[in-house]
Amino acid sequence: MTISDEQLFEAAPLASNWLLGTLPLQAECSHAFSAQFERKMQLLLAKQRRSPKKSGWIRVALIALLSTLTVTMSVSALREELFRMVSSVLENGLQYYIRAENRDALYFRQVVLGYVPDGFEMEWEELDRRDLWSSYNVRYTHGDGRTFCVSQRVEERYSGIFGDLEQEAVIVQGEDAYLQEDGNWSCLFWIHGPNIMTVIGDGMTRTEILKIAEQIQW
Amino acid sequence: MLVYVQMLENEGDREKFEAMYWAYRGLLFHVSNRILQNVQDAEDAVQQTFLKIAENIETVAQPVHPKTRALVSIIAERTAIDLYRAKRRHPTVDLDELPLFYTDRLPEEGNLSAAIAVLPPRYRQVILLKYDLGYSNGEIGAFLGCTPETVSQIAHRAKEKLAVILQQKEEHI
Repeated sequence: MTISDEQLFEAAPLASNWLLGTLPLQAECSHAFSAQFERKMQLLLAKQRRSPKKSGWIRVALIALLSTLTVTMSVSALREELFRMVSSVLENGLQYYIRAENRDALYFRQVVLGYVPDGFEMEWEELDRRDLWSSYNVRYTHGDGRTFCVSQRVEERYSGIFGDLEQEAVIVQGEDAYLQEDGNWSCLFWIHGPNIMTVIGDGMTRTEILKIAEQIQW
Repeated sequence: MLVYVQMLENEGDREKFEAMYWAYRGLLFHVSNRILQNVQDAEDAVQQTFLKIAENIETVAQPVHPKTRALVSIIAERTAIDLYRAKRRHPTVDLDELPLFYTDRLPEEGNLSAAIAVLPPRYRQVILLKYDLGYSNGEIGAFLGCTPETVSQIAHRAKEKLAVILQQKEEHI
């Protein structure tokens, strides 16, 4: 017995209808998604519009970042963790996805902060190790209200967003990094080996943010 | 080097993606959780499914449509099975060998449509994407994470499997 394409074109829609009919209606699929899921997906669905010119600028910056990563990684035989990055311009910025090509290279080793500005105390830290991703987050605060957070994440797939702010290309521990600043708020983002790193500061100077990042120990 | 940058700067694509997200996130959780039986894992699968959709958004004709519902369900099922395998290096059950939909509710007739419905997931997914939704082998490969050649092979094996299923039904009758 041979099944022809014509038979399948005729039969497949009916099979699909049957199968879909076994799934519940959308109204029956309510689920309270976790805050982490909502946060990630909200970033993907941000609504403010970015001007085409600025989007183009950030795109160029990202391409430059990716090109640099490409060159750097190809030079170093040790860096097997090749990332694919897919980005899309959303209405309030540029969404990026980072996807590791080599899952075996996604080892996780918690970072240690080599520099904490005077007067800051750890408010909380969180280490989360899972089969498919691991993360370490730590937050320091000062009595005068200044805070900073360091986030380390190793994940096969990761998404985030560059907000509606100018990016400044900087170097952190020899890696290309991007710094956003908005008044008292600043965010530094870079990739170090398999680690997706972010330092976010509120009330911190750019010098302090860069020094915190520069002295992170791996 | 496999780095690539895909710019989805088309406003229509963004709106399409958002519409799909709100329309199907609950359904995708249901499909994923039925396979993974773990809320955290199922949410991870939903997120990964939406990443796949975003990467291939240009191949989605309409954001909210029965065909799109079929598409996202198939991608979610595939993603959840892959996640199940990744998390359990030596899974006791090979989900690709089991029909995962509620096939007990299907008609009992021994026709080709019913045979498609009871195919193992990987075969069924390719057959439906190709013959119901009309995707090319390359597009199917992008959704399912395999090469067009692999898709072609799976489709060929699926046809052989369908022939066997129908043959067995005939012998039963």
